[in-house]
Amino acid sequence: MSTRDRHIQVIGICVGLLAAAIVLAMTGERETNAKSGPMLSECDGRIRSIAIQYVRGADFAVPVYRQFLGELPADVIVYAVCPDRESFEELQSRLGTESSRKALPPRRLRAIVTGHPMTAWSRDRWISLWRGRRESAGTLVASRGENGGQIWPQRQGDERIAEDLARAIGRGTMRSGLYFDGGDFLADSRSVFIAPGAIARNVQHTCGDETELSEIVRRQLGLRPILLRDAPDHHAGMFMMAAGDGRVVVCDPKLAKGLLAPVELPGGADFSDSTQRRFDSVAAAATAAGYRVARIACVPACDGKTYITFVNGIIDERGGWRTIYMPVYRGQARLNAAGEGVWEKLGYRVVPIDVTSTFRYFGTLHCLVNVIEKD
Amino acid sequence: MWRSRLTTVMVWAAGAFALALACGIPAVSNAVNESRAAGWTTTVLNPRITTNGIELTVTTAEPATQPSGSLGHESNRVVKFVVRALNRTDSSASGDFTIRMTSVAPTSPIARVMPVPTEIWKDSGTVVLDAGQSKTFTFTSPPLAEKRIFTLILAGGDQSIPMLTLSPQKNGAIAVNR
Repeated sequence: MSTRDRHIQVIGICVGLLAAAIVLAMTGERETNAKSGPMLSECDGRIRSIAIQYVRGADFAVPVYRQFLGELPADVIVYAVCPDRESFEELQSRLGTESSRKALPPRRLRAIVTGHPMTAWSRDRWISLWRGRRESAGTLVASRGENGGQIWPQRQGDERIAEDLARAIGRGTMRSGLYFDGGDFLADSRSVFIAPGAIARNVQHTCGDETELSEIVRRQLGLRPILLRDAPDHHAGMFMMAAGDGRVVVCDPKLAKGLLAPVELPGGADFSDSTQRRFDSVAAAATAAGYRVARIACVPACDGKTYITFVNGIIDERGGWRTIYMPVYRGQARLNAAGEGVWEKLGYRVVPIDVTSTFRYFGTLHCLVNVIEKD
Repeated sequence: MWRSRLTTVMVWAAGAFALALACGIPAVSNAVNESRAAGWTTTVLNPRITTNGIELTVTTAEPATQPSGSLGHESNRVVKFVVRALNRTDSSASGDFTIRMTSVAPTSPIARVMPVPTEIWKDSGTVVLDAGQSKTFTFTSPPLAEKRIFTLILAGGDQSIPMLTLSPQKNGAIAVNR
């Protein structure tokens, strides 16, 4: 073979490799969200914008919105996602006119009308990623599909909220290949805790095993995944919260035993050993991952979904100080005080938000409110 | 002359291109390849668990489109399932499995999540298989009501995986999701 022939071969190989590199780079661009930052931390950063959802007749949500939005600093932008204009006007009117400690100035709400059925629960619809270095805004990550959408029209509509919202506010959106509710993931600046529901919905459905699931989460959300396989069968935000500086707060039913005032719960309070073990497993997993764990009173009901919990709040960090908007419950003064005490001991300013109207629907404050952007 | 050189360049370029792509794009087995989509996930068409070297899978007796589709059960709305056990080892093996069905529906259209599902049916089996041997077991579900979600869960050893989700539709068909 002559030198010229060899040169021709080398040129051919170079052309082929170059073409392959271009193709791989282009497909890699599509498959990765590496330009976005990691999932927003629950406990770090100043809240810049939030989303709530409202549908006509969602009476349970109004008292919570009224208190929370009344307490929230005025510079936080609030997007109200509603199925129709009437729902938005009803929300605005009820927030502004009903008796309240601090009536909400109507100008703070920005309407996003979707034109399709939906529920009033914002937290589970999407996860927000920090803005990447080359992005002007962060990305909303939606689940591959909503749980129960097959038989529940409102839940089916919920599946489209991330796109509705992203389009309206000029952010990127991505539909994950994973099945999850937003509440299945709970993040601080270094880790993301994953509730059992997300593990069960994905292993052997969207990935082979837990190792593969962890790898997908790590790449998609940019944080170290911690699988809570033995945790209570509920969203992570119902039984734990990140507190910052390597700390987490984990619910502990036994701390509530002597503090619970008589209250009607579905099936009664569940202080069984088996349930206690599930909560303890969360504390153990967090400890094993290097976190300092503070335990906080909590009352799970025997239906497995109704919780009196003090971790399902919203945390805002301003000027180095953290505030938690913490759920509290009418008639549960001793429990409320115990919850408040734990957060204060961690250096938090506590703003109580009465969620008595919502907790029987299986969620409280954070379940209604999703944080879009933080500084 | 130049035409022959150009052809040689193209041949080498095509070879290098194909080889580089083959190395750069991973292959996925037992799955629809969605690895290039956001999330790097796959769609596992036949979820499986393995206990004592015996691989267990579940399918509906009547074929349905994958990964989601429907079964045309117009009457009674019962579904037949086939559990297939396959000994993947090179010696005889035995194992037990349990198959159960749960049912759930939203308690309220405004609830945050669905309640904890209720178990409505359960059965089990034991398999003893020679190397490479397989065996099937057929089960029939109880009647499935509309507006509920039924999940078929297979357990063996220390594993328990929801294999199929069924939701009967108004027209009598049963939607199947994996």
